[in-house]
Amino acid sequence: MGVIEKVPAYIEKIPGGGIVTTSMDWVLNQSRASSIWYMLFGLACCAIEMMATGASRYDFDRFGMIFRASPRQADLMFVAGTVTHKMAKRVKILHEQMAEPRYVIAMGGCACNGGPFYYDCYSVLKGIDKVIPVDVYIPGCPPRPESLMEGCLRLQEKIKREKLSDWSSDRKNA
Amino acid sequence: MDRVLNNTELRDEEFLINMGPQHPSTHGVLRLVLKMEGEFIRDLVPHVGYLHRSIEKIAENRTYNQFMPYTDRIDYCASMPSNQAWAVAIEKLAGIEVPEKAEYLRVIMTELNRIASHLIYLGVMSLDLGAVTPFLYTFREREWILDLFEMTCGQRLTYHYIRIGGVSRDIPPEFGKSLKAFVADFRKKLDDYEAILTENPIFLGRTKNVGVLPLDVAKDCGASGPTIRGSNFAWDIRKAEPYSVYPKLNFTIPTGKVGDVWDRYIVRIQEMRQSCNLAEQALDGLPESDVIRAKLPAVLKPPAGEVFSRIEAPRGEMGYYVVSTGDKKPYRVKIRTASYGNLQVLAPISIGWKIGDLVAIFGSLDVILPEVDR
Amino acid sequence: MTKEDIIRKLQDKFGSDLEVVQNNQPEPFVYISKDKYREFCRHVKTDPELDFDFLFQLAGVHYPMPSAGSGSSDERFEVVLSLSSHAKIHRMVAKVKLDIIDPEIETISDIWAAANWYERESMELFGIKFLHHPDPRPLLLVEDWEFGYPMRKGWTGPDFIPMPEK
Repeated sequence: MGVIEKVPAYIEKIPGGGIVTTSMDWVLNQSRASSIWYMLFGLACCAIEMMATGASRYDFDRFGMIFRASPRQADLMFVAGTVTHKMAKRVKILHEQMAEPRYVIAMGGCACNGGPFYYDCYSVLKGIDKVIPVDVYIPGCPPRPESLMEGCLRLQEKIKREKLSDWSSDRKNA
Repeated sequence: MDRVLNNTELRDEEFLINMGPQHPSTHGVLRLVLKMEGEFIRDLVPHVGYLHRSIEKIAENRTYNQFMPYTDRIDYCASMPSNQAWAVAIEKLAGIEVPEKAEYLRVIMTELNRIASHLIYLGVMSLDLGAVTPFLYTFREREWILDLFEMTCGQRLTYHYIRIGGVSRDIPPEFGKSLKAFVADFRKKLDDYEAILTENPIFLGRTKNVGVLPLDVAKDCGASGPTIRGSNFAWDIRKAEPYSVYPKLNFTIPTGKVGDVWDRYIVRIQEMRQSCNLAEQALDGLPESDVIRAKLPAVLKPPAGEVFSRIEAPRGEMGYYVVSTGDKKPYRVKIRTASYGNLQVLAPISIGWKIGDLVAIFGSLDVILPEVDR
Repeated sequence: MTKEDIIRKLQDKFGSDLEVVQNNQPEPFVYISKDKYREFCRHVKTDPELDFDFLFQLAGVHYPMPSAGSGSSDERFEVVLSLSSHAKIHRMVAKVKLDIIDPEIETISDIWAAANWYERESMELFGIKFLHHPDPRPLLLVEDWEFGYPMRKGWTGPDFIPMPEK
């Protein structure tokens, strides 16, 4: 029952069941952060570390994160690997196909700003944030599974700080 | 309504389907455009280039030692053999002699990496065919191998361990015990995997006699490695043009009989067993020495000339053609990878099958896209 | 067959159209003239003693200035074939020189099917024209690439940041 103690709420007991009063923001954020479904979008080497993080030893399922193949069913897109100009157009289309609220994690050096392919490279996009908005950057080449999980936990904290008004239709940078 | 009832001749139309760059079964960013007639594939055109990172252009602006980390990223599932291919090419060009202990360490590491790469193949192919359990099992075994690598060189995926002239550091004392324990345990685990998959009627139904690869098509299109060994052809660079200390070690080359998807699966399972033997033999034969790298100048300048060399990577033959002008940076580097040839085989052998079979055939070729695009 | 045997057999057949590169590599490196290129490829594939049935790779190289160590000192393009034989277990490297201004050569994708993709790659990265190629679409670059041929020496283009000299 530790959760109840930590909840910033006021509990009332009414015969027939307990009622918890809290804010809508808190409930929505908590449920969104605890069940982020990510899209399989491994491009290069970081994809193997992403798969290893979802596999037996470092399990993603305990955070409520399951992989889904289709962007329509996913909340989170890990951009794992180098993005080339040819692929960048498709990344943008896939990002727009995801339903809001949607989040992007740039995993690895190549997705953050080009990585080892920054110099002398004519076909690599130097960072995925040139085409889509990014929420969390995870450096590394490739980042260890522990780094990846730390990035996901930071994303969960970021989600928990959101307000309902952020996702209204006036939001400009979605 | 009358037209449907009276018209007994139903015509199929051909239509195009796009298995786009993002697809759970394409193992990376490959786009296949399929011309379908009903359920059957009539033609297939692969579109590649979605991961073209211009590594050959980068090579012309880096020194020979600075280029070594890029070779990791060409085939990241088997990073040690990729390093070794570049090291072997430059050692052949410059006439560098590698110390014996380094050669044995290279064999241990490349054979362990061969096992890790085939485990990824096994897990991902089973996942494509619908079996989720082998994926979790194989990635659990692979974590033990990655622990061994992390003990030695500190990295889990892209090692940069094999350097020109030798290796970068010696193995720690607890490596030998852990390796022997791993090999003893892994042989039993391989029996477990075979118990799940090899005689399973669903697996047999999806893979037996599917995607048969005739040997002349394979040779003509440039296929190599387990893809061509599945078609009953015992060709392995480690036996045909031996390099390193492979002539002193004892191993056989497994082959398939027919060249279907099941044969290529069995070839890889047996190769994992052979790699266990090789790693153990190399560990037993490790000489007592402290020299793990040849003495080289800080900036390596090989003599002017060209070289053509190749090794056996887990997916096939990987080789380099390097032109040097005597400068500290190479003039031209051409990387030839195994998946480039293996992918060209896909179009001839999948005509006439359904999309579900295409997933099985493509999984059995074990193609990694950065190898194709470089 | 040893290196000398292969060289002697090829010199018997092609005479002055063949030029041998002197180096200390275990494989023979030969230059073949442009007109005899297809005949050479067909001969080394079908001859029962040479039997080069495996095209390992086909590369384009750009030599804009005389450079030492590559067997010749003209400015040119080169197409380099690496061949090997499964049955006889021997290897060879064959090269052909092309014009620097307008490089073009016949295709060999009907002799070895593996050459198809290598020639497409050289076409778009170097600008070497392979005549009668069955499928001359670009392979690796973006579909609407219009900035020249990137692998040529001295090329620059948008989004190309050369490494700064230290």
